[in-house]
Amino acid sequence: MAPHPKKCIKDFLSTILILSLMLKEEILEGLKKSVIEGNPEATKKYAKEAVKNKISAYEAVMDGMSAGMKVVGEKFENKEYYVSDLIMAGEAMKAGLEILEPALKAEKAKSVGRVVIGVVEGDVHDIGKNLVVAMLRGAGFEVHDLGIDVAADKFVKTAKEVKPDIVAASAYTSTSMPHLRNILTELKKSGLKDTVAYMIGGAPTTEDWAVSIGADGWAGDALEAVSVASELVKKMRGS
Amino acid sequence: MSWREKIIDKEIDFIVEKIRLMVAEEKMTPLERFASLATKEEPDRLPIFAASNEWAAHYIGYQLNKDFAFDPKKWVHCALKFLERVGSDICLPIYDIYNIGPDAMGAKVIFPEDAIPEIREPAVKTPDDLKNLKVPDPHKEGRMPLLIEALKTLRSKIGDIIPIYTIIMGPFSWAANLRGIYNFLADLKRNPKFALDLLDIVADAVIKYTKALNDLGFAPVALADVVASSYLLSPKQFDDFVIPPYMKIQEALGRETFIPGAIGDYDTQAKMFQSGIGSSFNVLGINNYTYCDRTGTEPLKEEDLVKGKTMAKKLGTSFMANIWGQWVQVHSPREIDEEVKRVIKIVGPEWPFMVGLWYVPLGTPVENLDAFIRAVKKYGKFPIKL
Repeated sequence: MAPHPKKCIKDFLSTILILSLMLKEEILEGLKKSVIEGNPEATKKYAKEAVKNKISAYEAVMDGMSAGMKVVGEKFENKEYYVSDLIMAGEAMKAGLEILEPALKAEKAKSVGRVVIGVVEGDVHDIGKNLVVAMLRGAGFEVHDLGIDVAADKFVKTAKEVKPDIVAASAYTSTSMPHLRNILTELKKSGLKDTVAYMIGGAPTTEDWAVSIGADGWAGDALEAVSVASELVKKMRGS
Repeated sequence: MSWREKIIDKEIDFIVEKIRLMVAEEKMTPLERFASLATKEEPDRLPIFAASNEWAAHYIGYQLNKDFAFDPKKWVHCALKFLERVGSDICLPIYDIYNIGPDAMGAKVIFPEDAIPEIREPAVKTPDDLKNLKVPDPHKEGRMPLLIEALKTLRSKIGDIIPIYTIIMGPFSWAANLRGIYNFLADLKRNPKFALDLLDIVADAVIKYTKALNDLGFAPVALADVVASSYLLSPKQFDDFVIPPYMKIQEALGRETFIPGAIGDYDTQAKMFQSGIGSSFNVLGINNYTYCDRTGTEPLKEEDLVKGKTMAKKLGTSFMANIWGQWVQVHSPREIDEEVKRVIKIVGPEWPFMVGLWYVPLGTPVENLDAFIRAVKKYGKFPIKL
């Protein structure tokens, strides 16, 4: 006896659902793996697949790329991965986000936190800052990277525009270190300091020094930067 | 010669006279003290390896601007002033070693109004740029000849009593600064062949510069290589990218012509020496600073010092405990005295051993530097009994 047409349709829809779930699983796994392997081309390819197959961009970021970045962070802590691996994972993350950004905006996905970051005026050392950017993006933060040699007023101007939870700055040399204090002064002058947390880092800085100038947070490395930033966001959002 | 230059010359001559008098007050000259590192005979006291020409520049009243960056007479003035006012058993001719090589190969260096110059734009932006990269002539290109001029002047002034530390950039850091450190570290994973090709060209540049200096009688040449740091690189990357250019340099010039991994971190130096790179001038150092890791603000750890001196003994090299300038900047003279005493107590009786003071930040109180030197002279007198 031939099956009932209703059952045929039901079976057909189940198959489609299973296939699409498998496809989604495959894409998320591809995003994760490509970030772990530090392969920007592959991340871009899977991000395009995610958009094409109407997978939520937020899920693609969090369950795909961020999940991969979490593994990268663990491997770095266990000394299985080194700075080159972190850099390439960050590059992969950046490549994927470029594809997913419009969809993320359309979904009005709420980021874990919004950060404006840069290296202070007179300083061009950006390895640490770039690693922090990669790890923050990997953890789901929306990051506005101002680059190197950034004047204090540029931090303030951008903070006014994008309304971040955190302004973060780094200095590598002891000569450029005083600019970290200047940024805080400018944030206070502009009246932004009440709504924005200020976080610093960089080789010559210490936690004690950060406290002494009145910064809200300090991190010694890129992994610590994520946990400090997460705490600061909670504090700023009162959650 | 302008009247300003004449005044600097007079001042330099006056400083040199003062240095000679100071050196004469001690039993050995710094040159003899350093020679005892090689003979393994105990000197009168521990040698002090201290330098900071940018600190001296501010002490004199020079601004660290473009004029300063292109004036070897002023570098000489600063190097001598540091010896006279602070004291050291070695003389360092330059304040921005890391820019000299890449600058001569096309990297864009910026010269701020009063800060150490920085590379703003790498010379190698894409693999295609390797085709245009030329090994520079040390006597003609960039500021390389200026360094040679400063070295010659210093040797003529004090070379008979104080060793002139001839230092240029090591191959890994030189390549990283030509490419941009971030990009270069990415290349190690993304495009290893390109990274190796760049390192090969840079090894040729190091060979040419070192040879030019050797030919002028400056040997060994210290190759500063802080970017070749164990914090940044995996052991495999170290074997694949750091060792090969050093092997090439060693094969071209011989072992006794250079000191590998100068101012590098402990693990890097130990690995280099274990790989058979370098000479009887090798110095294994322990720092409270590493590139991108330790900040230089923590005291030296006892276990690191013990590990370092044990390894140095095993490798047959001299040992150096580097107290970083940032630590000295933020501690009191009394704390500095105690720290120097502690370090010498841990390592002191084990000769050959030196105490280093590096990267003194601008604005460090001169009293702190005095306290450091005083303490080494006090506690580092042989026989050391603490």
